[in-house]
Amino acid sequence: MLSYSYDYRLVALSVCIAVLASYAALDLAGRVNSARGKTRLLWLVVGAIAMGMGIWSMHYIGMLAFHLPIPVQYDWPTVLVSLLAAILASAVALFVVSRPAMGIGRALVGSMFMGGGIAAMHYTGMAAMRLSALCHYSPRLVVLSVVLAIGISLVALRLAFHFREETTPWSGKKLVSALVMGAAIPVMHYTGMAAAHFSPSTIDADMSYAIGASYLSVTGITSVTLLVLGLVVVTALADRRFSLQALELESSRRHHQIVETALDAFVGMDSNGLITDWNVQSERTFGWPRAEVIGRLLADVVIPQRFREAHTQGLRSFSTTRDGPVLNQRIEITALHRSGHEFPVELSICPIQWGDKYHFAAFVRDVTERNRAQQELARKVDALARSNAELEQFAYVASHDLQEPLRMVASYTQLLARRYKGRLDADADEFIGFAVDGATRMQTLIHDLLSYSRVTTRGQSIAPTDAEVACKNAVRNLRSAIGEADGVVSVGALPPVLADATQLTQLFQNLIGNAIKYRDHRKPDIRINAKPDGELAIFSIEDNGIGIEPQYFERIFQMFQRLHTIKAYSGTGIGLALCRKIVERHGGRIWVESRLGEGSTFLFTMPQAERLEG
Amino acid sequence: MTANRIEILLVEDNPGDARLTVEAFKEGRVINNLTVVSDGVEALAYLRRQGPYAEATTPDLILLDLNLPKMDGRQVLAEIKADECLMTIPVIVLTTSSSQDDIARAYGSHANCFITKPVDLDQFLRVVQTIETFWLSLVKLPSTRNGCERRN
Repeated sequence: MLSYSYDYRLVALSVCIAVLASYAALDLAGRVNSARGKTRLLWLVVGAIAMGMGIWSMHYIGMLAFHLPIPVQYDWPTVLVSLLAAILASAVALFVVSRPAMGIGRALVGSMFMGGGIAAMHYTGMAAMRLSALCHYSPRLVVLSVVLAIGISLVALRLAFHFREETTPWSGKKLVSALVMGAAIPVMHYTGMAAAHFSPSTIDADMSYAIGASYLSVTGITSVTLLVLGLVVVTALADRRFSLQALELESSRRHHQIVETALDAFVGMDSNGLITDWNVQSERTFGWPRAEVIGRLLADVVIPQRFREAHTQGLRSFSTTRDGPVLNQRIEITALHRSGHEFPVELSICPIQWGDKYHFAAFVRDVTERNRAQQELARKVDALARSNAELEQFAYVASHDLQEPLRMVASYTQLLARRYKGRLDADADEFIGFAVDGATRMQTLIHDLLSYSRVTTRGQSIAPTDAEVACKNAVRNLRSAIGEADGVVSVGALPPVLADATQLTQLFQNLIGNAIKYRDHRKPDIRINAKPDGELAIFSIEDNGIGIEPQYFERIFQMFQRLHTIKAYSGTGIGLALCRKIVERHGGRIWVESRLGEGSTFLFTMPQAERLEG
Repeated sequence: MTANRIEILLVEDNPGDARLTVEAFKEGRVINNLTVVSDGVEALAYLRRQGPYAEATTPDLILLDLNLPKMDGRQVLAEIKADECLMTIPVIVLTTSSSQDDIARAYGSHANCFITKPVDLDQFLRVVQTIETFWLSLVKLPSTRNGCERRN
């Protein structure tokens, strides 16, 4: 067994190179990741060569640090093959870490290739040794070295992947991980070396392509490696700088384009009130071409004379207070067009600090059309409200004034019937009968119509009202009808609400009246309850009457809509329309739930009152 | 004209309403003489026997509508109740109005009663019958008018 020794200066050098190579690898991973297309492939190839050379030269410097008592030479084709193995391993590693994602599976496969490549490089390099000795390997240590190579590669890949986005070239984290990786590669190497034992041999080695390793070659390898690695790192740095600049340039061009194509006018102004920016829409909005306004006072260009003083004042006060009443909000003001006409604009002005200077960025929108539309809308709403009020007034006046002549018709036909019934012929009696009936029905209709229009035209003020009292009043007003039908009305606890007390009573009266009216053979059983629903109270009037089919749930609340003939159930069909009008005047909602033959429940909402006054 | 006939003055501008009232009184039992004037100015002229009404009879009862042309019923009422010779004649306000305001003002002007005309004929007939029973049979009316000259 041949004894051997290490030159520790060279060992240290080998570790240094490993660290440097690792650092270059981490840096390169980032470049490969951010590059696209051909540049990416170029970075991958250059990176793989540089990193492979780094690992490879670490190995040979480590080999030179290893002293045997006999001369050692190297077979250079085999040495080249080992270099190729190192480069391929590096290529695999760079490829893996530059993928968009790295799962544990991909990381494992990558590290197998990378670790395997490094191990292959190491043992190929060992095989390149030409010496008069036999080389034996301890299998366990060989396996350990390969496992270490793979394990180290796994850690290295994870680290590289993690730090590839790091843009600062000299980050502490990157340095630490380079140290870890750089220390780990020699660990593998020296484990592999520990696995090798050399015993003297008399057989001459094949020296046909062998060359010796000297300090000169060490210096050469080291210099070339350092040069390549250094070049790569510097290039990566430059590339990063350039690509950042390109990005910034692109981003600024993009922003410029956004501003230019915006449908809002964009106007920039410096702290002296001079125009600095003027996009295409500004030209359209104000009529001034960009070239004619840049560098001019904004006030002179777009602000009407009478507002210029205020503008200048605002600028002056901003220089001390750093604030102003029109800043950082959407405001509407009057602007001046090149042609001299004024128009309304909506704008927002934001001060922007650049160094110690302030700029103002304003987005301006011509709102002439919008304002016109708004005014038009307001005018229409107003006209609609007026026409609505007129219509209500008309309904009231018409029905009120119609009452008078109708009373005449009704009274005199009734008088006719009274005086001449049976004294003329049978036809006359029948005709008079129809006239009396028609007049009477019309009187009811007009009376109901009048009540309907009175809901809004003659409504009382809305105030806290005891719903229970209102309901009981309604029941009292209906007592004869309830008595005739032999019905039962039970009133639960009802909360105070904000209502017109008279109308609330009328509402209950109509709904309870309906419940009595639309009864079947059973005795009416009517239950009135309420439950809270947020700020509202939901009232329910439940009966056991004839019920309503679902398709009529909406229709019954419309004016003059009836589901039954006058003969079956009397009425004008205004009762529920009136109910809805009352409920809606109070900001509530009315609806029905019902099953034909089983009864109906009318529900309505009304705002709850906190408490009753007085 | 007989002495025991009851004289009624009806102030009503609507001929249909006037006739209806006349008809209603016709169905009554008390013999009466009902004169109709159609506006406030005419009513006062009649009561004060002015112009064409120099020969008019002072009524025992006045039925007064509120909404009248020329001078409305509210003013006629005020004039009657301010006139020493007329103030003792009972005035029944018979109108379609049911407004609280009208009611209060009428009593404030010393109307003797306020009746809203029912819409239905049967009810109207009953009201006229009640007026008849109460004012023309039940109550005692003064036979002299504060010493004012009274012609029958």
